[in-house]
Order: sequence, then C-alpha cells, then structure tokens
Amino acid sequence: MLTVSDLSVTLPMAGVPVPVLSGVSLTLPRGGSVGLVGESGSGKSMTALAVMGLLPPGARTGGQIGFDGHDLLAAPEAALCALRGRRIGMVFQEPMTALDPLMRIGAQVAEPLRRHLGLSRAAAAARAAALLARVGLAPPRVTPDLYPHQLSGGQRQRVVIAAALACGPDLLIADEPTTALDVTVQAQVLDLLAALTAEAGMALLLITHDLAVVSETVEQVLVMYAGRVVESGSTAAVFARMAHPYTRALFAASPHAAVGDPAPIPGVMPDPRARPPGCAFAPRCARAGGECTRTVPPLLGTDAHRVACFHPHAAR
Amino acid sequence: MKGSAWRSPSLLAGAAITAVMVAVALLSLVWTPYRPTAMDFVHRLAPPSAVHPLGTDSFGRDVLSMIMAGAQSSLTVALIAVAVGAGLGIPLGALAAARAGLLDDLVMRGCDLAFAFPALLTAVMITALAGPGAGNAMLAIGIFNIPVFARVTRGAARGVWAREYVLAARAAGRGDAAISVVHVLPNIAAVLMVQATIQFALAIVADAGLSYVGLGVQPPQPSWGRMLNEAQTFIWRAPLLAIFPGLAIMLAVLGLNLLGDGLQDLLDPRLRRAR
Amino acid sequence: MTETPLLEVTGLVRDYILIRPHPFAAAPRRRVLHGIDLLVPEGGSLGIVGESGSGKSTLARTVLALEPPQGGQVRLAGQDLFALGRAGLRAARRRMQAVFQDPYGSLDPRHPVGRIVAEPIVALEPGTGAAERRARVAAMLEDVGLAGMAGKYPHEFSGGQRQRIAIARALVTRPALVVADEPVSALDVSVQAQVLALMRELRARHGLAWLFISHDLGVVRWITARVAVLYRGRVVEEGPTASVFDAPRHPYTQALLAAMPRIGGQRRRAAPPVDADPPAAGCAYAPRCPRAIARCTAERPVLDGDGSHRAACHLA
Repeated sequence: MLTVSDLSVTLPMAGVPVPVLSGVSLTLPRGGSVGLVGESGSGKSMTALAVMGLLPPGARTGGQIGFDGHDLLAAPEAALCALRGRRIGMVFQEPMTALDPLMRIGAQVAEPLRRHLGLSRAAAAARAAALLARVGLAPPRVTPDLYPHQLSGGQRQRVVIAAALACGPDLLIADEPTTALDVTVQAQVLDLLAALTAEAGMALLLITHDLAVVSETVEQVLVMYAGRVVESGSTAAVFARMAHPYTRALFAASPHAAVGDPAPIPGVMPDPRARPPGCAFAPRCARAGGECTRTVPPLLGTDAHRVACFHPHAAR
Repeated sequence: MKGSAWRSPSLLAGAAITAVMVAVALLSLVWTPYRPTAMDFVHRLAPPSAVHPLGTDSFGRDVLSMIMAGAQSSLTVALIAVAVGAGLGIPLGALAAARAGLLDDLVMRGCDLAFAFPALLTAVMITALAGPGAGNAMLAIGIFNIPVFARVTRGAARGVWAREYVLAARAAGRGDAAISVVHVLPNIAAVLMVQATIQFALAIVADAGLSYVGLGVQPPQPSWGRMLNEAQTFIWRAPLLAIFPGLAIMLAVLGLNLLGDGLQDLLDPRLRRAR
Repeated sequence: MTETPLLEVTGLVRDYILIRPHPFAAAPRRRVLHGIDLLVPEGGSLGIVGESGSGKSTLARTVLALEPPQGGQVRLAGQDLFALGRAGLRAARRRMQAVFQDPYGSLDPRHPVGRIVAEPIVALEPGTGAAERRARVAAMLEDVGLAGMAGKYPHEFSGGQRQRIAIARALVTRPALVVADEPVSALDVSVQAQVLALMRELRARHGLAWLFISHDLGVVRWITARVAVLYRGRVVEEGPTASVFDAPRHPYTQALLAAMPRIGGQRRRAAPPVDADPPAAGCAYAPRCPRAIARCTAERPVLDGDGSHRAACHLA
C-alpha cells in the first residue's frame, strides 16, 4: 500500500544543497508494520516527513513514494492535505505540543471527523467519545470535555492516537510516540498501537531510536544510518543475525540489551555536509577494510533480510 | 554567519537611517549651513533653493539648519527619556521576576496603575506643573517608560527563570542577583533592545508632541515639534514648512522601528544558527 | 556504624502549595514526598527509579537545597543543609553538584563553554584567580573528552557533548556527591551509553558518589550499586541493584521490570492503568496491584526486610 522506492532528499544548508536521504526504499503492505530505527541524524524522521509531504521548504526530492496508486512526491499540496489526517494519521513525540491546550479533548478528536468526513456535530462527538474509549480513555475517569492539561502524559498521547485514528486511516505514522513517556505507559501505548493495527487492518510506520521498542512491536525493521538504510528485513531475521556492524553497535549500546553492559559506539555520525565517500559508518567500524572507505556498499539480500555491508556479521 | 546582517534589509535600512539621523545631530553641534536662530527677513518663506536647500521659515531662518539642530534636541530628549525608563524599569522588572510573590505583585500593580493614565496627557500635565523645558520633558517621557520596561523585562525574565540553566546556576551556588545579571539579562537583551528602539521612536513622537504644544525644548533652540506648530499658520502658503519636519519625525521613527525589527532577528543566536 | 554517611536524607516531606480556590481560602497543599529516607556513603551510588509523578525530581531539587522541605532533614557529611547559613550552604554546595536532564536547556546559550564550566568556581570559590580557574576548566574539559573547546558556544555541540559539558561543570569544584536528574533521558541510546561510560569512569577516577535519578531502569541498573524505587512520594523498595533487579519484592518494581522494553524476548503484558487514586490509608499502589488483599487498603506497609534489601509490601 505504501511503497517508497529509491527516495532521496536534498536540503539546502547555508545555501549549499546537502543530501540527507539517499536510496531509501521500503514496502508496507495493508495491515503491515515497519519500524525505522536510527540515531538523530540518521534520516528516519526525514523519511516520515517525506511520506507526509511535510519536508522543510527548499527540499529537493528524487524517487517515488507510492500510496495506494498516488505518487505522493508529485501530488499537489491540496491532494496531500486531503490525505493527511484522512487516510494517513500521525502521532508525534511530544503529546503536549500536538494538542491544542484551549480545546476539549473530545473536540480535538472530533475535529478531523467534521473536516474530512463532514459529520454533523452530534455524530462527530459520539464517534469521538467511542474513539477515546477505544484508546482507554473512558468515563467516568476521563470524559471528552476535559482539557489536555488535566491529563497525564500517557493519557495525552492516547488522545493524540485517538485523533490520528479518527477517520480510520490506512496508514499511521508514529514518530517516537513513546520517547517522552514512562516505561509502564510506554508499554501500554505500544500494546495499543499493535492491537489497533491488527484489528483495523491499518498499516503502521513506527520511528524510534530504541531498538527494543521496534523489536517487540513491528513485523519489519529498517535500520538507518547517515541517510541510508544499512539493514532491513523481518524483525525476527534482523534481530537474529544483526548483520550490519552498526546494528550490532546500536544493540550493544542499548541499556535495554538483554545481557552485558552498554558499550558506547566510538566516534560520532558524520556531518551530512562532509560524509565519507564510502560507507558512512566505516570511520566508526572495527571491521572496515579498504573498499569500505571507497565505495558505498549496496543493500543486498532477499526481501526477508538485506544488509549494506562488505563485511557483515554471521548469525549471532 | 558574519554575513547574516547583510541579508536583513530592514536591519540595514533601519541602521542606515538611524546612523544618518545621529550623524546629522552630531554634525549640528559643530556645523550647520546657517545658525539655526539667524533670521533673514529679506528671504522669508523662501522656497528650496541652492542658498537654502530646504527653504526658510516665516522669520527667514534656514529650515535645513533648524531640522539639523532639531534632530540633536529630539534625539537627546528621547535618548535620556529611554535611559531613565530603562534604567529604572529594567531593574524593577528583573527584581519582580526574581522574587515572585508580594514584591512582584506590588511592582506589577504599580505598572498597571501607571498604564491607566494616558501617557502623553500626563506628560503634558507634568511639564505644565513642573514648568516647560527639555529637562522636564525628558523626565515626563522617561517616567512613562519605566512601567513599559518593567513589564517587558519581568515577562521575558520569568521565561528565563523557568529554564534549566537557571536551575543549574542555582545548584552551582549562584544567588538571585548574580543569576539576574549573569544569565537572565543577557538572555533577554534582544527583547529589551528591540523594546528600547520602539520606545525611542515613541519618545521622539512624544517629544515632538510636547514641543508642539510649547512644553518641550524652549525657544530659541529649534525643535521639530515647534517647527510643525509654527508651520501651521502658513500651511497653505508654504506647505513644505510642515512637510520637512514631519518627514524628519517620520524618518527617525521609521528608521528606529526597522532597526528594532532587524535587531530582533540578529540578536537571537538560535535564529542565527537556523540560517 | 560510626562513620558519617556522605548523604543522609531522613523523613523528607515536601508539599506543593496550590492555587487558592478563592482569595480567602487557605491555600491547598499536595504532599509530593511523604517522608523519604535515603543513605549514600562516600563514593557510593544510589539510583532513584520512578515514573513521572513519583516525586523523584522534587527529591533531587530538595536534596540539592534548591527547594525547602516541609519536614525532615538533608545531611551532607553530617551537616543539615537547611540549618546552614548562606556561607555554610555555599561551602556545602562545593561538595555537592548537579547534572540536569535537558542538554539543550541546562546550558546558557549566551555563554561560551569555558564560562559555563567555570560558573561553580566563580560562585563558590570567589578567591580563585583567573589563571587557576582557566587551568581547572581546561583540565575538566579534557576529562570529559572536550579538550580545547572552551571558546565554543553550546549550540555548536551535539546533545551528548552538551551533557558532557554539564558533567564538567558539575565536577569542577571537585564535589563528593553529584545529583543527576535524568541525565541521559533526552539522549539517543547510543549516546546514552557514551555518557554513562564517562560518568562511570569519572566516578572511579575521582571517588565520586552519585545520586542518579531516572525513569529508565536499564540505565539505573548499569550505573548504580544500590537502587530505591519511588512510588507516589514513598520509597517502596530499596536494596542492592542486582538484588532488586533479579528478585524484585514489591509488585510495583515487578511491574516496572516487566514493562521494560527488551530486545529479543517478548515484553510481558503492561501494568494496569496508572489513573486510580490511592486510598487514604493503606498502600498507594493497592489500586493498581494485581495481588492486593484487604489489608493493603487498610494498613500502610512499612519498608522492611533483611538488612540490605527492603520492600514496603505486606506480601513481600
């Protein structure tokens, strides 16, 4: 349903065009779920913004983003507006800034229903109440006439999810939806997202810096580094092997890895204005050889598991 | 990063106009084409010419020389008025922000009270009571700048007080006064600078207003406001007499407002980085 | 025990004064800390774990003497911080410094790094000459891996580097105790590992004690020797980190651990909702607790157990 092929994005920085995304491809079937994992600067959020048609001004794009027969990169802004909120729902990291502090939560959930589906006030309100109940915000504890500041962080994020789900979108994009939340609340929100995709046949694009969050929520994983996909495949296959040294390093660095102390990744991600000619991870990689510094390794393998590395790890 | 100032046309235009105004005011201290008080009864109400570039007024005084000298008195009055307002208002506002509670309430209700009086009318009243003259004009305009600065400072400073680096400074052992000086004021300097240019422009208008009704700088020292006043008798015979000082006021205000806008963009390091 | 502990918190109570409902009413209060007892020995490390609303940040600010408590004491090397005068508190602050959560908010954007790191010296050791100050700042920056960066401004650094600057500032007066409130929560996982490794290394090198506050159990597990779990302003479990993580006794700790994201293994079901109000008497966790019995809502459990690992639960 969502097919991103060979997406590239160039942004002007201080007047110079800088490539921030190169050759990103992903396929998300109806009802499927994909996780984009990477550090800040890896291009994971930029990919989501490109899908939503919300790239910063001055961005130049290449490749295609196909959504149910539309090419989103070629679509006019009016067509994108009609899709956003109607067929593509969005959930962002900071629930407080995503909600209007002066609007009752019921009205915020009802707003897209009235705008996109043309529902009457009463019908929209009834539907909003049902949606809020679906995400676990039911009376008597939480009623639709509360304001965002009267809710906890996790409750607010559930309001945002309810609003994103209001029009029954085919695709939900969640950018770090649980980063600002406590672990127990994070677990609830992730469970909720997984249940909703399963029962509504909705596709989920989950963006996070935490491998642990994707490992238990999505079917497919794309690991991104410096604007490229370095490893992709089914979650089980990727975590079973972790072929790319960056995926392993990210795993080893996570305080949530099952065993051992977190091991920092030496060095920093290269500045997008001065990326090395070969593999962008080579300067930080213990396995890098001569060709790694000269040629960008292609993303090779089968649909079940691909890796962009000249010296991939064997199975763990 | 250094070139960013050149990409802001309003900053450039504002700075240029303001610089010309200041230069003219300074120049008038040492040189004007004629003495601004010298009367030439032969050439009264003369149109602009090579001899008198902006013409002469009803006493035959050179309009260009008067505008130059007027710039000096206008800018001086406005500068000192803003300095009085900022000098008292900023510390008051900073104090109110640092010590929430009773003191904050007192300062802010005091400001509300001051705002309840129409500024220019009260300035007229003060100068009428204390006697006309440049000094009292500065004081009268300055007093009404105090609550403006106090309120802006307090509002902006409250935002800084909520920042984590202030918490870090307190944990590092800084007292309230030191935090106000070291962290709060530098971080709201941009806001205050912008406010100061706006108040400067308003003070020029206020000074023109006071001298228009004869309560500002006293004759024979020329001022833009009194030039306007004197020009209105001859508005049909010599409309330029009113237009030139009017233009001078407009340019000064426009220049300062443009400068304020430009400074706002330039002084914010976050905006600078985003370029 | 004859030796005075470095930090001793006893019976700490903190109320927040809320807005009066009308001008003549007494201002209502909400108790955020209900009598907290903590102990950190010289060179030791204690983690405080809890969700938002547990009072952990309030605890940090009260221990740092940034907020006065309504009851109880905070003793640093035997001295009651709130009984000290201005000069005494200043001397105490030299021995106790802080690192805060937000690497973008905790550094004054208008000060160069050298001035930021020097701030505690300027404030707490006013007799220090400029040359000595510069030398100590330079040495400290070298310690955190940012040698020669004193002239740069915060916005020129990444989040991880900014947190290193914050750590350098905290250590420049050679304190005995550093209170760190969520120091890595705003960072990417890979950068978290770098900052944690640095904190551990500095702890060993300078014989520091840490009071480390975090909502992330994975992080706390790695950095501290002992851990205290906070729930609604009370310590519900306290003990050696390994023991608390491997054999949690309080149902809340068990729920927290179960909800932790995990790589490879499936997360267990999330804890039930957080929304219920605690009973006036009894255990605050009882409404959420799957194992609660009648006694839990009638009688408040006290922190109890064998000498080093204690839990406040009737069922432990």
